[in-house]
Amino acid sequence: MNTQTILKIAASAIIYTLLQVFILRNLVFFDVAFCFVYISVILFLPSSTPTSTALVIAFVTGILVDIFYNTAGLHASAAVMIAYIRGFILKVLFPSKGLENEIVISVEGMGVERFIRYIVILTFIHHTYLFFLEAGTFNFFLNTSLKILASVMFSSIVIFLLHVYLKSLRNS
Amino acid sequence: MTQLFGILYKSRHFFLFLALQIICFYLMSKNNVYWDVSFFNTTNNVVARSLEVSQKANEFVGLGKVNEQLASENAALRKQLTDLQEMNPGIPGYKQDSVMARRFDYTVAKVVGSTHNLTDNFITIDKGIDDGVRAGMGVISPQGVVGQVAYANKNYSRVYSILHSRQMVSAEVLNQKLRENGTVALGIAKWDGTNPHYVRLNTVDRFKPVAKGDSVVTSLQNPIFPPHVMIGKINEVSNTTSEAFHNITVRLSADFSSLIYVYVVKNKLIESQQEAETNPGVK
Repeated sequence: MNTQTILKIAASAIIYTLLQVFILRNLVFFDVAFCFVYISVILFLPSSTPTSTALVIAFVTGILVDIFYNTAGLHASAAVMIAYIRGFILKVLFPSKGLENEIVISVEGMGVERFIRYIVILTFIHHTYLFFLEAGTFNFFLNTSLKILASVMFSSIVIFLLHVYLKSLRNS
Repeated sequence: MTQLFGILYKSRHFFLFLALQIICFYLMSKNNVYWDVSFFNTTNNVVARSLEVSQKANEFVGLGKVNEQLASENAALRKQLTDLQEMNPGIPGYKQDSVMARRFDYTVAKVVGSTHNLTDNFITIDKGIDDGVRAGMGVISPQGVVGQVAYANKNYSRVYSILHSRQMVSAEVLNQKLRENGTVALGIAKWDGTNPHYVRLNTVDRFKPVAKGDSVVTSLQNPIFPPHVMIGKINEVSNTTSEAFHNITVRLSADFSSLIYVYVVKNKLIESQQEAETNPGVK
């Protein structure tokens, strides 16, 4: 990992966290569709990042979001969760042995279909974990499920579009 | 031994994952401990400052709404004034002494951050200990009850919104029939955690006549809020024959997504009242 990659990761972490905290925190549709775009920081880490580094980055990002959401530990826990699971998901999506460290996580590197599948799967895992942990019980199962489904759709779309947009900004 | 270390080294990612998760769960479970409350939430000065900036932008856009709120507040006050002027002591023999009548003090505070669609919701306001705000005081808005102060530091406080799983408000129902009968229908207003526009009103005796559209206000029997502050209007009443209480849903009158100014209520006699209620000398 060279300095340039580290700077890139730091920049993306700052941009996504600020977006999350100042804009998307206030953007909730029909009281059910939330948008947690900060997981992009973890989703789009280079695939060669060691899992332990990814875990630490996820933890720090999660805690930052937590401070603004008044939920100590909740987002950090969910973020650490997907940072850990990411490696396995990549292995499942790209079954050929050893290749998962060389995948470029982007539309060009993966193909649109697989890229979207990757985003949706991880977003779904993150949101399911987050909302059930936040509710603390399975009592409002339907209500929580509705929140999860609506939020996964909303977040995935925003994550995909933002990624494409930021990429085009960088290239131009 | 080398093999053991080999295994440990191989699963180092898993152990780091486990350690971080344990930290997270520790933070979640200790959310009420002092150091945590003062650092990991929006009362943290840096965080509160930045939230204030973003709130200022919202404020500018919402100036029209603020005007509207202030105007309706003025109207309500004017009405209260005339009510007071025309009120004659209704109950012969009872005299409200002036200390009791003036026991409530109000502090106007600005909302700098709030949530209303989580399971446990909080509001951050820009008044703290320096302005006389203490934990436990009630918070109301021009439209109705908002919640109770959870924690106050020098300049900011964090308020349990009524949309919090552990927040309850002593309430009563107002209508013509109850007034004629000379009874009160007391209950406890509590959020059930689903829709941020509705709360439930529990433990209202099912033989009390209550109906859809009746006002639900804070009761006389609570030391935190002034009596008869609006909570909301009854949206639905249902009961099965076997239950002792009505099943009541109340539509909140305060809109938690657009709170801008709130009033922190200080009851100057609360210590005296609590002392009388819990004096250890009386068994």
